Amino acid sequence: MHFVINLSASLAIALLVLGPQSSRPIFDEVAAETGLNFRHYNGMTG
Amino acid sequence: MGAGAALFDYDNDGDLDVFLVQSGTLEPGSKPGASGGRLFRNDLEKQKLRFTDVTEKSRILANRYGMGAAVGDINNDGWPDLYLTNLGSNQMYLNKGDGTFEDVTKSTASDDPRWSTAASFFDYDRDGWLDLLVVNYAEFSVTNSPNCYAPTSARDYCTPRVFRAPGNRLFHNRRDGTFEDVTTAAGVDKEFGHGLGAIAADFDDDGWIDIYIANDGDPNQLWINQKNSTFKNDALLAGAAVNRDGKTEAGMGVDAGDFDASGTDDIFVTHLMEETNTLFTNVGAAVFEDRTREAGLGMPGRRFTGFGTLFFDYDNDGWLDLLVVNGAVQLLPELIRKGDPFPLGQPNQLFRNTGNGRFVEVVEQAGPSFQLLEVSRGAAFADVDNDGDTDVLVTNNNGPARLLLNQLGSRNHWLGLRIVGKNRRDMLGAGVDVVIRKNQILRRRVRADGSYLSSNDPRVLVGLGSTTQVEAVRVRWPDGNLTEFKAPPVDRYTTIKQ
Repeated sequence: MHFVINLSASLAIALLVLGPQSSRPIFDEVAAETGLNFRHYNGMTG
Repeated sequence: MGAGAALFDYDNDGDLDVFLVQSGTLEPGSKPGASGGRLFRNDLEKQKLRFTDVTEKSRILANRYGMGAAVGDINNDGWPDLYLTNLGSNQMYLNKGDGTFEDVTKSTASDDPRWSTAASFFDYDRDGWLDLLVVNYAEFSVTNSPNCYAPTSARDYCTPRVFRAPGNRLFHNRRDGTFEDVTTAAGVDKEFGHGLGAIAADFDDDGWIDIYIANDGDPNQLWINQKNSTFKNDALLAGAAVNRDGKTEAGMGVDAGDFDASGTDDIFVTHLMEETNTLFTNVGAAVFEDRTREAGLGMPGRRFTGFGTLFFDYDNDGWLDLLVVNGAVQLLPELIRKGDPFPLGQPNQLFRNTGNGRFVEVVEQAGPSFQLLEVSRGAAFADVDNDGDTDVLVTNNNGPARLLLNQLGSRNHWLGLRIVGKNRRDMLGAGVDVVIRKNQILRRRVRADGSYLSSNDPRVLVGLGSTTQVEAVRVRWPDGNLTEFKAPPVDRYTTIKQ
């Protein structure tokens, strides 16, 4: 089962890395707008 | 310390639903978790997300002091079941396949009445049925809890060393609807620790699934499967028990993945601030080297206390990146001075794998939610909108759940695979090799465990960058057999059956 060979540099070049430089955030937080309304409670009130 | 979440397709409609674990107060006379954990059905339509709370309809009554969630199909009926860890007795919920669950904790004999944290379903004896590991944290009760104090003299949370470590539990699936406690027979009661994180993977690549447990303040454990229903903890000799300085650290969350494309699963463990989060690189045959510093992960981790974490390819470039969610466990003086009533908040962190053994923290581009100071604990990962990239559900202690929708990854090509057995059960523990072309192979595995107190998407999502075609997919089934499948289509999900 030792058929896996390191991902070569050539593949690294071949794979396109799309822009962290893009202006749009990578992640949008959408919990509330999608109905995922949940608040964890541990009893601490300050 | 909690709580976690599960992302799983309880209704088998093709999209991932959400279970969020609730805790509560432990004050005398109060009702822990009065509002209880909640099940939200994903009503995805044309990639538009909408969640509906279906807790009452589901008959899940998770009103104890909840910690975590694990998902696995314990009776091989094709419907994923739910195991909840609690401070106190745990709960096993059998998925009836009609939108409801039945509490079968007692009849399955799968309870652990101690303070359980992580849990993992995996088939350690290759019999085709999922067994269950339950990790326990500390011998604690409200009545034996001492008072602990911060340097400011404010009352603070105690360290785990104040409490004895209870030991973990391994349940063998008897294939008749019950589990047998094989903790002693399997040898996993020979080492103790304050366990918080667990991951099952074939670290030594021998075709048998092993266990790694992250302990809080004790050496971590690497239980190597001896292929005879017993395990041996080789963590110290393997270089995965302590950090490169020989120090134990406060292990919280843990994940395993082949971040360097070497063909073996590496380990990442999150820790307290002023420690590093630690990257144990698997150099072959389950021998590990701490390469945290070389990978650029040393200093970024020292600033915060990490919990949930996962190797995942957020930009689908073929390299596994990292996300770490943070939140202090002891009061932060700078937040106390600002009058913060819950002075434990810290920002979460995203790290991009640069493909040369290093990670770079992505700060501004990650999104506004990464600027928030919250007390994050669990992180569950899944492609919740089925668009071909990995999204993240973050749980916050005493705060709101956050759903982070990935807006970047699907701009690259990807391959989505659901690996199922003859009965459509997700084959947790199966190894998946995606052959891009000769000598260019990406190794992944089918899993739901890892991170912190959470359960993840069992589907395998492989980023392909600009590659539009793969040659083949090889599946190493949990029973040891190997099957090669020719060129599944890219940019969509394909189900592969055993």
